[in-house]
Amino acid sequence: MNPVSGITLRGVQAVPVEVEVETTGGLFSVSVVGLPDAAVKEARERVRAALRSVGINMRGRVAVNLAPADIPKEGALLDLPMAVGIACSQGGLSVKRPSLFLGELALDGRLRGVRGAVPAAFLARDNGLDLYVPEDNAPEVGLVGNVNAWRVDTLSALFAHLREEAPLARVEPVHALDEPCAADPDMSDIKGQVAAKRALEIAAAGHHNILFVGSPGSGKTLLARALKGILPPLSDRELMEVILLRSAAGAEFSTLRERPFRSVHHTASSVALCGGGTSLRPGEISLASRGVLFLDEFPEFTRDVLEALRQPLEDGQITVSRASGSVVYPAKVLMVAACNPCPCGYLGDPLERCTCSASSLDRYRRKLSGPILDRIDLHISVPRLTPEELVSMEGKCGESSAEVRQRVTAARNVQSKRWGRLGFECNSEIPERVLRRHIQIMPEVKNFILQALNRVRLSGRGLSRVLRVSRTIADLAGAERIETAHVAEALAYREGEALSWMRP
Amino acid sequence: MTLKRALERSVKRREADPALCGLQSGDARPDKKRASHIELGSRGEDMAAAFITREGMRVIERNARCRFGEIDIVAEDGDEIVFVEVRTRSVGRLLPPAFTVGPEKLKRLVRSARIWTELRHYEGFWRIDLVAITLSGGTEPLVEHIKGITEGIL
Repeated sequence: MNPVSGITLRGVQAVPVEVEVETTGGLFSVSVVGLPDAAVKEARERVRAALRSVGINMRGRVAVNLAPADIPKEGALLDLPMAVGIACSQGGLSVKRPSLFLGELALDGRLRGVRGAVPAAFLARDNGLDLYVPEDNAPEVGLVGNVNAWRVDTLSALFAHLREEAPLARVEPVHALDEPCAADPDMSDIKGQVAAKRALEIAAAGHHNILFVGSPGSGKTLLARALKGILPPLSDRELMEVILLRSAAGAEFSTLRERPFRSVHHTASSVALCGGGTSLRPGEISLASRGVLFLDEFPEFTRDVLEALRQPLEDGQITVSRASGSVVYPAKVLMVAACNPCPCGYLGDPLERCTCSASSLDRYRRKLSGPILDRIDLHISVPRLTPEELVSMEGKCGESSAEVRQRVTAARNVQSKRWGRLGFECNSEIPERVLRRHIQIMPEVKNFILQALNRVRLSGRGLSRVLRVSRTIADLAGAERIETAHVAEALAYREGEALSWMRP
Repeated sequence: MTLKRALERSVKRREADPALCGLQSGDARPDKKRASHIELGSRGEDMAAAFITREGMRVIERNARCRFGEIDIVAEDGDEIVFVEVRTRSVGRLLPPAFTVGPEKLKRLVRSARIWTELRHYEGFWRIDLVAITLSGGTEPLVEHIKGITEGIL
C-alpha cells in the first residue's frame, strides 16, 4: 500500500484512497484524476497556496491520481493527503509508515476540521495505520480509542513531524462522561398529564413508538421533549454508532452519553428524512438512531414521507439505494408523533367548538389511517389542562425524570437479560414467532384476550403489538408473567379513546 | 500527399533551418528611426536583464522571436528555464505595468515559450515571469519581479 492515503466516505464507511503523484517537466499545471467532485478539484488551489506557505513552490506538470479510480471521491478532506503526496514528490519529504491523512487546508497552511474523522479512525484502527487528523477532530478520534493518531494544526508542524524534527502531539484517548445528563424539560416540570407521562415511561422502557393526539396548547411537544430525559444513557456500543453517524453527517459532537433528539418539520422531504442525495448522506431518521425522532403535526407530512418511514421503523435500519451505489444506515429510532384531532384542533374538546367540515375531517383521517398508524403501539390523548391545574403554582408535579429513568433502566435490564441470548434488546423488536413462544402469559389472561378480541377488531400484527406492550408493562411492574391488568392497559393504549375519532 | 508525410516533411525542414518556423535570435530591427516607446522598452529590457542577473539567474537569450510573438529574456534559474516578459512604463500612465499583461498576451507567451522548449528538445521545468519597471524622472526606477505568472490561471 502506498504510504500516503486519504479516505472518502461511502455511507458511514471510510474507503481508503491512495494518493499517487507524478511530476514531469513543463509549465506548472495540476491535474487531479480519479472521479474527484468539485471540492476535490478545487483542492489544487488550496494545496498550492498551503504548500507555498511552508516554502514548497510547486512546479512542472503535476498529475495526482486518486485510487481506486472508479469510486467517486468527495469532500475537502483529501486536501491534506494531496499536499503530503506532492511534498513527497517535490519537497523531499518521505512518509515511512502507511498513514491516513485527513483535513481541509486553509490558504495559510492551517488545518480545518472535516466530517468523516470517526470512520477514518475505525479504518486506521482496524488496519493498523497511522492517522493524522486536524485539531478540531481530535476529541472524536480520541473517543474511538486504540488509534495511533496525531493531531495536526498546521502543515508546517506536520512536515516537521514527518522529517522527524519536532514530533506532533498524539491524540489522547477520551472517555465518555458517565455523569447523567440533565433532563430538559424534567418530567416534574410538566403539570398534569399523568396518563401521558405513564405512556412515555412505557415507550422508553420497551422502545415503543408513540402518538400524542390533543388540541393545540395541550403540551404534546413538551411531553415529547421530556422523553429524551427518561431514556437510559447510551451504552459504549450505541455511543460509537451515534458518533460515527454524526461524524459522517458533519453534525456536532459531544462526549455526553445523551441520546439524540431530532425534531423534524413537516415540510421535510423524504430524502431529508431517510437519507440520500448524490453523496448518500444519512437522513434525520439515522441521525436520530438510538434516540428520539419527533414528528410534530404528523398528518401534515406528505404521504410519501410517511410511507417511506414504514420500512425503517420495522427493520431498525434503512437501505438508501441510488445510481451511485447503496448504503445501509442504522435507523433504530423511538418515534414520537404528535397531531391534532382535526384540522382546527378542537374536536372532542369540552370547551371549544370544532369548526371543521365533514369533508375536511374525512381528508384528515385518510392521511393518518392505514399502515403507518399500525406501527405505532401507544396512542395517547393529551387533554387540555383544567383551569385548576393551570393555575397551580407548586414547583414540582409528580416524579422527576431521574426517578422514572431508574425504573426504565431496570425494565430494560430485565428485557436484555431475557432476549439477550436471542440477539434482541427490547420488547418492541421481538419477531412474532419468538414472541408467541417466549412470552409468559397467565392462563386466565388468555380468556381475557379472547373476550377483548370479540369486541375490538385486531389483526394478527395488532395483537402481537398489544402483547409486546403488555410485556413491557409487566417488566416495569417487575412481574414475571403478564397479568390481565397489563394486557388491559396495553389494549387501552391501542384501541382506547385517543383515536376514537378515527372511527366515524 | 498524406497528412503524415506532410508532417514528416515539415519536421525535417524545421530541423534543418529553425528560422523557417519563425523563431530567430537577435533584434531584427535596424537601429535607425526608433520610436521613443521602443527606445524606452529596450532600455527597460536592459535594466531587467541586469536585475535578474543580480538575483542569481543567468540570461541565455534576449528577444527570442517566433511567429506568435517575442520573448524578451530567456534565462536560467537553477534547473529551471525562465521566460521573462518585461514591461516598462513611465510614471503617470493610467495603469501600472503589471496590469498590462492580459490573458491574450499570456496565451501568446505560453505558446512562444512552448515552441522555444520544443525546438530545443528541452523537457525540464519552465515558468514565465514578469519584470515590471516603472521609470520616474530623476529617481531610481522601481523594479518588480513577479514569478510564475501563469499559476492559478492554467
